[in-house]
Amino acid sequence: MQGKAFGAVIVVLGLLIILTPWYIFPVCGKGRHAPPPGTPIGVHGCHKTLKAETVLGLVTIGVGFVPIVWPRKKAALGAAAATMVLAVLVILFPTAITGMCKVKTMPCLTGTLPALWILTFIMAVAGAGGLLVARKLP
Amino acid sequence: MTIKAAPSLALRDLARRPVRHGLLVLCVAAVTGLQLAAFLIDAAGRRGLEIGLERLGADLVAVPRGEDGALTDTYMTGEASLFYMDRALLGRVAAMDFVEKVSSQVFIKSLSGASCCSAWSVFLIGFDPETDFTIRPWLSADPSRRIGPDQILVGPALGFEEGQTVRFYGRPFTVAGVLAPSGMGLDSAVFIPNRSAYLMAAESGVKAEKKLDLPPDRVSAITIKLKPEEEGGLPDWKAAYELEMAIKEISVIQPLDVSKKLSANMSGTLKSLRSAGYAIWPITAIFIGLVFAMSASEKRREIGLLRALGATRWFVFRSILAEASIIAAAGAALGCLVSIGLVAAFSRAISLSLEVPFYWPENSALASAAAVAFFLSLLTGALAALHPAASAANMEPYEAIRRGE
Repeated sequence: MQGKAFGAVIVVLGLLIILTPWYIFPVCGKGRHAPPPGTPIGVHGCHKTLKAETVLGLVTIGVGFVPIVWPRKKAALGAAAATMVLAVLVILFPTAITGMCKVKTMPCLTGTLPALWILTFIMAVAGAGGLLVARKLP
Repeated sequence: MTIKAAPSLALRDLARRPVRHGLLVLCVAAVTGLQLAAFLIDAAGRRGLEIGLERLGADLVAVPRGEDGALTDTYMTGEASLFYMDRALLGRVAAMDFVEKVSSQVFIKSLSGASCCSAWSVFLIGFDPETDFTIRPWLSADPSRRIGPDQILVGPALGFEEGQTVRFYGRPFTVAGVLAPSGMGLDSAVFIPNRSAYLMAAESGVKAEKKLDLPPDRVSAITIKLKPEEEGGLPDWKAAYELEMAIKEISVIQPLDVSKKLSANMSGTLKSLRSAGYAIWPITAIFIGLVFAMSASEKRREIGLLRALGATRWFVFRSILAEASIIAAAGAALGCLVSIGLVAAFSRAISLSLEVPFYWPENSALASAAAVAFFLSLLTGALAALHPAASAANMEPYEAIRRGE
């Protein structure tokens, strides 16, 4: 049961990684920050990060399903370790790899980036929790 | 039974029901967090305004009649407001005998998709480097430096660096300096010498995707420095009144107007945060009281045995109170950390959505607010558990064991 609950938490976090830059705290030119119809969105540095986070979210969901489908010690340990690595990647993409826009008042920096920091923190805590859960599994 | 055993007994009891006690911790965290967040937003807004007004440097600002609201919004958010008046008004304002000096500003909005800033529009403010007394003092290094015709000063929020070249309406400009942060919306504005601004407008028909319509006889705002009162000057409110009476084409803004706007913008959000906190507070207190009454009832047999083994009433009372205090302390600490973390992380988003300046409060103010929130929550937890703790302590050992079976 605990292994499945851990997996479900990871799946929810994966969904949040996808939904955050698209809808919850959208990057520039997307979601509620989309320009009026007919106006070009323009080129934004944060759009590469949007794509990267979408892929990372999908991978996280996949990782979350492992302990749900196979609630064993090794599976949960693997999922917990993968979650911690993914947590680091979630924040490395906007801060070091693909980056965000330059102007500090733009939506990707005022909303998306802090939200991704929070998700990274929660994922790291969930990963550490997963290691504890794994110890109790057969 | 030693007195020191009470907290360890409390900790063991807490670990036995993690979900129930976890929920209590979250409730206390919500109460503490909401109150602290309301304080932080209020304090940061007021400090931002204080620093922003100090940096503004002008005693009064004159704009076309009726545009005073738009200018205060612009100062708060950095969103461009476009309005213009006749340049001749500058001379009429300067001619008033209580005015020491004046300078003009012209407001422009950059084109979307400008090469500098992806697709975002940047607020461009034309200023007169010869007469300016409000913008150059913000320069973080060497406020007295000369600004060349195609040089610009930029707000710190834009992320530009000194020496960088940026293009507006097809005209290249070099960043001559980055202004010190003020917490106001103007941190995301670009300041261009007036002469270059008018030249940029004249050439925009050829060089830019869209022509900028800005005749050289138009200005947007007049910044005014008043003479000291001992040298024949007037207090700012009176000077503003005299100016509006003498020149019907202008509205005059005083620092007080900006403060009023700030209070109006913040009041709704602060009221919601505080109301939510006040609403959850009694519910949390009742919840804690009920949980501990339930817990004491469940532990009747255990309490009876403890008392039979020689534990005093005071020991039982202390151990239940310690449980409640540990929960309240954990919740309060969590609430303080989460609240400070969230407000810090989303400070710019809060500032933009509430249209208020944001400058992080001093550490001493923050520490005292966090301490007050923490101790109020701790007190709530302890007081809520007082009745169940007293009832449990007053149980007779034999009766408690018998009824608990």
